[in-house]
Amino acid sequence: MARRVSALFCWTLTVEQVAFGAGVAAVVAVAPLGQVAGPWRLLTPRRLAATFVLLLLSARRIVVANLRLSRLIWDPRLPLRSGMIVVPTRERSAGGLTAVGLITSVIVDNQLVDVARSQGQLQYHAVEVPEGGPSKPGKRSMGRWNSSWPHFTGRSNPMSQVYLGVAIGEMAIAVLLVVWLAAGPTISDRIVALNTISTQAALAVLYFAAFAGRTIYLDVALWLTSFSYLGAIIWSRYLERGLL
Amino acid sequence: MREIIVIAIAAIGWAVSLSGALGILRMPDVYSRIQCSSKTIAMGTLPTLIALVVGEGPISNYGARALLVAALLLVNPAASHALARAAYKTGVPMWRGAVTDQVRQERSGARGNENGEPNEEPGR
Repeated sequence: MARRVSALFCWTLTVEQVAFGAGVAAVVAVAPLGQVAGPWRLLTPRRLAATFVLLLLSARRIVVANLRLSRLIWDPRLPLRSGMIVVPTRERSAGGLTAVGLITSVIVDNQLVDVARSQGQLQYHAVEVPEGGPSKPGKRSMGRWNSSWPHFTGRSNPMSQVYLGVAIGEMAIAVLLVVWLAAGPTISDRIVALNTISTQAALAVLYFAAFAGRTIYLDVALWLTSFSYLGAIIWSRYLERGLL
Repeated sequence: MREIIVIAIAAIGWAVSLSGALGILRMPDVYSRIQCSSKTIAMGTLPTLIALVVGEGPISNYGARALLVAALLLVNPAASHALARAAYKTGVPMWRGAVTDQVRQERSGARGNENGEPNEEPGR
């Protein structure tokens, strides 16, 4: 057992490991977890199609919303008109509400705050951006990426300097945010700053691993990401309900 | 050639991350800051990770791990939702210039106006 767990953590792709993973997945699938929306629910064709349509509808808005929010941030006057908004929905199932909430929150114009499930309401916080955002999202570089995709095969590090530069850049952003970590007026502000810092740090570690050619650092990045995510959730649970 | 593509994609991601961080510094209340942070995570880190995948190839150790981190980051809206909800429930105020709080209006019984237009009443 211990050997299997260690095989799981050191990323050797063996038959044994795949079989263990399949076993764990099977146990989770039949385990009595109560009323949860398992990810396998997505596999029904109708749900899959609906999720795909939702993603497609959101894809353009994600880019546009990001450009708009950037403009708003860099505008020296900061013309912010934020507020809480109630949006009615016909969706009642937990899985559907989760999908809608998550995907619409990736669009940065709005952030899901709460769900009033019995009344069919989604409560969002929105940054209302004035009209006239830039209309050309940066799709061109993606096209270039796709066309040259077949030429990319994994080699050792011919551009470690680039990687080092990116790592330093990400850390510089993290340093900027330490200000709010220290001075944030409420605990929530500090959690926001901490979450962003650890995300940037994970990226920096990832790039530093590529620079140094040490694959062992990659797992540091992986754990950092997952723990920052769990940490934010646990902190907010604590804020909401206390030490329960 | 590949260097240029990697630098370009990583620069896009870095620029978005930087504006997100600046947004966190400049925004007046916690809800707007949460939105700026989710911006950093959603659109800032993904191009940066894509750049690593492009540079190292998707099959390599780095590429596979970068894709895993990307998958983890995609569930991050759940974390920011939990954070926003905790802040709202514990009564962290919105800033004075907030244009509407329809949740509070509805709770106090008098729904302001049906078509979602902002009222003049400040949030706090």
